[in-house]
This record gives sequence, C-alpha cells and structure tokens, in this order.
Amino acid sequence: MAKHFTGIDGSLRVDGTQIAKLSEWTFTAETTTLETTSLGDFARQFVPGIQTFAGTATAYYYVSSANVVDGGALYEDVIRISAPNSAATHTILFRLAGTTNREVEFSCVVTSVSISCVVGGLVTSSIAFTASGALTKATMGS
Amino acid sequence: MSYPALNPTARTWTPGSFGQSSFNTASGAEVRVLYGTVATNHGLLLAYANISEAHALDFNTHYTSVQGNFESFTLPAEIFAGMTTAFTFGTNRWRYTEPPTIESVKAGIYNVSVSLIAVYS
Repeated sequence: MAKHFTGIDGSLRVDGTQIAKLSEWTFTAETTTLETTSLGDFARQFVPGIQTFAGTATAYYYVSSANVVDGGALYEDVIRISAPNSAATHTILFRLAGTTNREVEFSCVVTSVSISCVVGGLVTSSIAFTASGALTKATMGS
Repeated sequence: MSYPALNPTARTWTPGSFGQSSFNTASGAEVRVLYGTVATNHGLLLAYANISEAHALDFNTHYTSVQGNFESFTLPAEIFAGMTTAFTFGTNRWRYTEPPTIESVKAGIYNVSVSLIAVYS
C-alpha cells in the first residue's frame, strides 16, 4: 500500500528501549570523497572515502512513574562527574514504522546534550550523537 | 615488469645541469670549461593520489623487478599525460633515486610517490 510517513511513524530506541516523549529526530549519513583526478583529465573524478553517520534527537525532559528519566542513559554519557566512557556504549535505532519497518541502527558516542528550560514551556533536551563503526541495520532505503 | 602505465596526479620536472668546471685565474678572472652539450640528471617526481591497491602494488613490484635503483627502465607515455609538447631530455631511460613511498589512505586506496632520474648511456 502506498504511504507517506509522518511523525507518528517515527521512533527512537536507545539500547532497545523506546524514548517515550520524543518530538524530533534526524539522521545523517555522509561519505567523504577522495579525488582521483589525474593529469590529462578535464573534469574532476572521485571515489568514495570514509562514511560518517550521525543523528540528533529532541525529547521532552520526562520522568516516568518509576522515577526514571526518559533517555537518561544518553544524558549521563556527557553530563557526569567522571571521565567519559572509553568506547561507544549505546545502540541507537531510528525507525519509521509501517507494514515493513524502515530502520537504521548503530553504536554511538553521545557528543552533546543540551537541556532547555524556559518560562511557560516544557523542558526539552537536544541530544547529538555520532556512530562508531558501520551501521548494524540499514533498511531506510529498501 | 614495465613501469605502471597510469596518469600521475602531480608531476614535477627538474631540468638537469650541464657538466662543467670553473677556475679562477691568477688575475681573478673566472674560466669555465663545458664538458658536453647535453644536460644530464633530469629529475622527475611523480605523485599518484588515491589509486587502487592493485596499482599501488604495481609500483612495489616494478621497483623490485628493476632491483631498486640498479637498473634503468623506460617510461610509458602516460607519465607525460596532459602535455602537448614533451620535455626535451634526450633519453627515455630512467632509474629510481629512492624507493617509492606507498601511503595507505583507507582500505584499498593508496597514495604513491616516485622519484626518478634520467639515465644516459
């Protein structure tokens, strides 16, 4: 069945647990280029280089009935009093749900967390992360 | 094995010099003696950026096949790709001045640098 996707189809899972109060996520995949233009060519030529995968998410700062901060494990990667982790510690999965789920999954390093509190508004947090290693699931294009 | 027939991504040509000696006479005048009419020791630096592993290995194989800088060899036309009028150097025999450098960029991709000098027989 033909289908457009909207925000209701999107979700983000951290280590297998869905972030409950998410308002936005983005995922970016990039490949650098290595130039192979040689003398005598009149147009630049390239081959693919190294891939980079990164993402951001914006969530409401939300505490569950069990007194657990939604997505708190990501916050604690950078908001902490001890040294940062020595390796990627979390698995991120972006999903667009449908008859067939479209997903990307990777191990990530959290690069920034920004918590915003304003008068008359909900407290939100913005999280940025970058993948370490190759994607472990990549079905967004299939 | 022949020298790899690849277009370089950068080429630096250094013209050779003319063999000569100079003397200062008792009067202070300088006298120069020219030993030939042909410049020798032309230098050629070639760079190959982001080439495949197979091509990179070709340079290593060729260097071994000519026993380093012991034997001379000819260069293919690809070396002077992009030139409409080739340099005048009076020979097409060359030898390595130093081993080629083969730098790994990423898996399967390499940068190679080659330094050659013209050889006259």
